[in-house]
Amino acid sequence: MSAGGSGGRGRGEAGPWWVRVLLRLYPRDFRDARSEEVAEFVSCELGRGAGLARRVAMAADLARGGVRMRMRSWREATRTGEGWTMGLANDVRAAVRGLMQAPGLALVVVTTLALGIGLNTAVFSVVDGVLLRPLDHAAEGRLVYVQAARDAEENADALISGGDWTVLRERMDALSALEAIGSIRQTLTDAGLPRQVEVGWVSPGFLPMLGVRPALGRLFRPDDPPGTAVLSHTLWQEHLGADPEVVGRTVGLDGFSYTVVGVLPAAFRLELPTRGGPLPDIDIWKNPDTYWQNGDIWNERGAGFGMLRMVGVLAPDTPLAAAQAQADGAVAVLAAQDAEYETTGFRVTVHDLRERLVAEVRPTLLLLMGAVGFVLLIACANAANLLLVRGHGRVREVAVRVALGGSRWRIARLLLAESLVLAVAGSALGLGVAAAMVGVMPWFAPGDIPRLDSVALDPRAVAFAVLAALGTTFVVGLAPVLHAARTEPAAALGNARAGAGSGGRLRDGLVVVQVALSLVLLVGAGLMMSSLARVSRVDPGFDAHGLFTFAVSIPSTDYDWPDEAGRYYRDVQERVAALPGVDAAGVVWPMPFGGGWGGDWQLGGDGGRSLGVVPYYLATEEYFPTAGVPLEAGRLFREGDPREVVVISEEAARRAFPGESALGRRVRANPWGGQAVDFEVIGVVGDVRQSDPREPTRGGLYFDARTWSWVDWEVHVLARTALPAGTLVPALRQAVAELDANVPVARPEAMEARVAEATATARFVLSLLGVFAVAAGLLAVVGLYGVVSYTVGQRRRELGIRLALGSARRGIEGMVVRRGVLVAGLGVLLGTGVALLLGGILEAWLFEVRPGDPLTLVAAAAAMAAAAALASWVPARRAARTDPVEVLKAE
Amino acid sequence: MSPTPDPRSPRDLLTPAALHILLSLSQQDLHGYGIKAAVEERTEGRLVLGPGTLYEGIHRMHEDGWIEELAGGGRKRVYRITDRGRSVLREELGRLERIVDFARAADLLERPV
Repeated sequence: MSAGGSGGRGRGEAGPWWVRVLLRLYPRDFRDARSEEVAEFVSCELGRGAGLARRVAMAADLARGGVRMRMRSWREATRTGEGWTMGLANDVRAAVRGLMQAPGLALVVVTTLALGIGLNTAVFSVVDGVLLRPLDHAAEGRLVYVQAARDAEENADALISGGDWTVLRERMDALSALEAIGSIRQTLTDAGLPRQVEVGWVSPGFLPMLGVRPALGRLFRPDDPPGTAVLSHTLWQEHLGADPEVVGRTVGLDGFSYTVVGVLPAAFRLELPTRGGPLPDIDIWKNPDTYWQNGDIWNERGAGFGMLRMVGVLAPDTPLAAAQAQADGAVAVLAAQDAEYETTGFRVTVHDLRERLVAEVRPTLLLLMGAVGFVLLIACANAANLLLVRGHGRVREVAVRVALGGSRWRIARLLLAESLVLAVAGSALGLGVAAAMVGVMPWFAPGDIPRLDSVALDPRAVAFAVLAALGTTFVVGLAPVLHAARTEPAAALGNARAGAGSGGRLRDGLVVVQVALSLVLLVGAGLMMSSLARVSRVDPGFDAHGLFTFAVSIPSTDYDWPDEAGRYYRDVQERVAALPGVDAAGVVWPMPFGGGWGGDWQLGGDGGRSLGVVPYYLATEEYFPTAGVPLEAGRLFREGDPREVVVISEEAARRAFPGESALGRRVRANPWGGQAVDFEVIGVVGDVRQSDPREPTRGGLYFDARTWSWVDWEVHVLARTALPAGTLVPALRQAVAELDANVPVARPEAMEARVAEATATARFVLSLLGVFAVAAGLLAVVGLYGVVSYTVGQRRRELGIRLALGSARRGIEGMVVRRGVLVAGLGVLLGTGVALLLGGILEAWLFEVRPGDPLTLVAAAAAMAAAAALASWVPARRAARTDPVEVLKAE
Repeated sequence: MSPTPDPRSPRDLLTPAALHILLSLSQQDLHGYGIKAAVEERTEGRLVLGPGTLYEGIHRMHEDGWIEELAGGGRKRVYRITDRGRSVLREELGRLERIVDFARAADLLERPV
């Protein structure tokens, strides 16, 4: 085909299809001007019998040319600031210039966004550090927590005996390892001051299973003799002066000496789920030994009662369910051998370690993440609203640009660039807010959130903040963009005010959303507050105020038990009571909110009715009046009592002897394990809450510290004093040291602080929700204020005329306030609905308050409405003061 | 004559294709395909312009005013070099000449037979 022969072709059919396709690569102006020529050129070439090679060469050449031209036009566009891809840099420059003209507005928007992004980043850091980040162990992902539990215990987290662990270990081949750890507190009795340390008692395979490599020396071997120890890095540094020759040295624990074979690396941390939060950091690791007053905890069977926790590794390609099935099988075998497993409801469950570790805090953190998300939404709505207001101020500018042929896309881009600049500035400032929050969080966060101390503002948090900023950009920028896209130049230019009037509904809508969301947060905070107030009104059964506590533990190497140990308890108690400023002192274990101990019990005599599991206590008779636990019937212990007497609590008496007097009756229990003993009830005392005021009491049995005392395990000493907490400590230390210089005073603290810890999570949630609610409420009020003032500004002329025509100023004021309150009222209504819908989520954190508590709802709504009225009233007053003459002159 | 450094940035240098298009048009007015044919003939087939390269060059030189389109060319557009185009060409050839002079002085070229 010759060039001339294609004369009849239309413009649309330029040459072969591949030419048309490749021409799409070229800039539009080239296509418009040259398509036909290119097609003709190709046709000529083909007409001369171009072969495949030539065709391919032409196609490649066309493609290269297209790419080159596109690149060039893009480069030129960014250089000159023209064309469709005018650089982002230009947009940003223009946006910054524009924002500088309204610095006040920019500052408010940036602050608003910083608050939203900052709070979100801080909460994200916590969620990430606690929930999302993998554990720092080699076998992470396949580590399982094998948990024993018994029916009668709420919050079931039972420890297991060594014998039962061995049975599980043999029968669970779905696990490639199942190792055990017991944790106790002991006294380091080397040179220097005695010091209480956390001791981890582990099966030899435990540390290797976690993939730990020792920093010095080695880990345990199965053939290590009892009395072998591995030190934590911290203890090695603090107690042994980081001695590089430490391997082979000995350390003394409760008078026994242990040979150090290794030191763990500084970064190693073991976190296990326990009832009261994560396991404390372990200072000394030791291998199993039989030294224990109750016998051989590593080999005896205990019907589920013991001292060990189990961690295992799932075998490759094995599901958790397979391990669970084997655990069930092992429990069935145990139950077939001994009926006690059945009666106590002993069971074993297998969990992913990390999931189990954070299971209890997960809902709390997700709740906070959701709540703080609301704050960001409100901040976005607020910023969008402010930008809309600004957009209206520029309605003429936009109209002129549109009229001059500026594409709406260009204008939209400029507006988006503005919100991008604001969001980036906001998130930079927000990172500061987040860093501050993450810094202070550990101070007021409850101790039972695992891994909280590893939370830091790291690159992931920064990435989150950046994502939040980008998201914010679009959410914030969307409203002004949508609005600009609808601007009709003719209308806007003809009457600027007419153009400005539109979009009011969008602004009102945003305020409604803000008010609604903040009301939801306010209701949440209100519910938490009233719930906590109720918790604090619960009578714990003792008087925490003015009670100071500490723990002591005496070693079996120096004391026999029960007699010498019992005498030591009385001596310590006497010396403390004699200190100036101390009114009374007593010994107990565990003190309320100070740990858990318990065992099963039944009515006395053979074949007595089983009463399940009950808290056990060891106490001196002085404990009861010191703590303020009332004696309701009978008497307390006294000198010369036989061992087989017990004081029980009212709830225990009700359970064992409903409707009858418990005094003189017999119950069977085994405080030291082994053979159960029949006790005579000599007294009934008031109930105390063991660990959480929100949980109903489970009663209690008190054994006489004189005759059931122990060694190598701590007891609590309580002192009633009017002195401020802490001032007593030096005197206490001296008194205890005078009695036995090798016994340290451990964990001295005020009982009130201890009790407060029980509600720490609730107070943490409340304080954060409170911060969020206040921030949200402020933002919403600012938003409302902005909208009302803006509207008033727009209606100045109308209001001026009304005033000129004789309207009362008060009427004008009322009119403006009514409008603000109407918008806020809609928000309150919507928010109440949402709060009712979402209230159920909060239920788990509430105590004796229903999520739909009408009082809280009404109070929150009233507070919000009042704030809204105030936010409207200020601009309303200004409106009413409008001078009609001035307004009309201005026209 | 000593070689002088070229003040233009590499981006502004004429591409070989552009040089040849200008060279062809300096001899006679041509349409696109004619340019291609002339270049091929002059270079004895060593330079075969593809459609992309050719029309990219034409488009740019037309925009820059180095060549112009003859009116009334009908469907076949015929191009003519402008005065500006000629001066660009002269400048480029002068640059090449200086390079060749230098190369000759440095005895880098084969002697003409």
